[in-house]
Amino acid sequence: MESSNTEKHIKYEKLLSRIAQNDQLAFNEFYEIYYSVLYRYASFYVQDEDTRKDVISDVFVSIWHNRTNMDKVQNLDNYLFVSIKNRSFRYIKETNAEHHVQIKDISEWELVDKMEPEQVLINGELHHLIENGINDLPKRCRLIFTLIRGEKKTYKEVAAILSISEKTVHAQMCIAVKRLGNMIKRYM
Amino acid sequence: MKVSNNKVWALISKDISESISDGEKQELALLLNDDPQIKKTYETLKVIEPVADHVKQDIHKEEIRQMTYQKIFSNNSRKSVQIRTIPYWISIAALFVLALTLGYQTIRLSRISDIEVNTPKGVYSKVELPDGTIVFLNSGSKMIYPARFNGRSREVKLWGEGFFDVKKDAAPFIVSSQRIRVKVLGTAFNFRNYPSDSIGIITLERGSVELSLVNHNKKVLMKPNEQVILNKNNAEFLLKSRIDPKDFSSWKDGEFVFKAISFPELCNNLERRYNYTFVIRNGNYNHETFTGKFKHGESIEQIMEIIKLNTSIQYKIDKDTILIY
Repeated sequence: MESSNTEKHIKYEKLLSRIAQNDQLAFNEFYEIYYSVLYRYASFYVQDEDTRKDVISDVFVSIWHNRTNMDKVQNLDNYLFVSIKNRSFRYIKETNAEHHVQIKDISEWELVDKMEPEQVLINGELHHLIENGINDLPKRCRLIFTLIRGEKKTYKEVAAILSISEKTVHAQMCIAVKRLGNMIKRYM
Repeated sequence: MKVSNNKVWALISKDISESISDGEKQELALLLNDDPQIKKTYETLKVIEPVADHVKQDIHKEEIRQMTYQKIFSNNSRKSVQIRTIPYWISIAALFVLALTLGYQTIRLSRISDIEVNTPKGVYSKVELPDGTIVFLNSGSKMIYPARFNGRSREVKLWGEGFFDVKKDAAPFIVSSQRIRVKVLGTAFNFRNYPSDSIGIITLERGSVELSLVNHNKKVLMKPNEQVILNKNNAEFLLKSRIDPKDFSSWKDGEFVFKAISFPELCNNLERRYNYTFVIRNGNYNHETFTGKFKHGESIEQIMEIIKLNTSIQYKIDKDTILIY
């Protein structure tokens, strides 16, 4: 896990320095690599699809416009996340939309049927319950839960993205797990 | 022995975050074995993965990419865009007159045997060159070619858009458009370089193409299904692969296919195709992108109705001007 992170870091450093030198092909590669993660970050904050497209393209545009400084960015994940967040809030403020995540947003989620020996089967009712449970989590808690369970980030990675401590990440995760866990337990 | 549930939740949190130590893992296993209810809950928690809609994500990838490049390269004009047109033959006549009065005696006789093809707005044409190469010229385009190729190379000049189906020959076929040069041996490609556009687009269907920019060292070798978008302002280019070249040459079959273009660009294209002048007084759609396909035979009125249905613009057709408000 550790080595793949350093590999990733080196690879992206190279890409960013190429972009800093006006390399458009490198920028396109960057788009290919980061598009989906930026889309998912934007999905968390922005409900409206058109606004989402604006937010994402604006962030890429700003990366190109700031290309000479991009290779100096220490924590790229955090930079990207904060860029999306700030841009989202700006759009939402400008269009006077509500800036808490709508329930519909997180309902776009999947259950992975792992078919463990225990044969976990989640029926429609429980599925719905879990959906609501996730939506009812406090916003920050839900974000962290989504990054960890949805984006498969570790405590360390989430801490880097959000610029918080691992302890905080763990604390928030515990809140989510306790709430959802109790809910599931009651249902069964 | 009942362990505090908080301890269990904490361990489960670490476990499903791939942030659990070996010791803690063992501790968790023991606790789960003691409490089958908690174990079942744990199994359920393990399968929850909130992810964004992959389908939607994929659908928008190209569109958002286009938006990004559009925002980077286009000149931001938020005021009303009035696009006027000057007939090509008038501007060329002026050029000729100018050259003669300045005393350019280096105009060789062979110049006179150059053939000039003009496709005015609203039509497109098909031309066969002396070597058998077929060229489709889109509306509002011009091509100049010699009555006879000299045997060493086949050179033509282009303004606007043409689709070239080049006959294979030892002599390289070269299309020049402003400062962009496309060199091929035998191939089929679409070359789009309207003087008023800030970018030139070359799309390769088959064969191979060498693309270069005059006065620059850059040379790009293109393969089939690749496309190069060249920024004429700063000589930067973007190479796209795995595109469908038919999308970019469908105009020669009378279709107008567009993907994620801006409203002013859409009007620009319609202008050329239907020979109307668009006056845009409504800036609300300058940030929208439009994707669609208009088939051969659709009138400008039908198209304006479709646009009206999909946006909330109003329009008025007055002789050869369309006012958007």
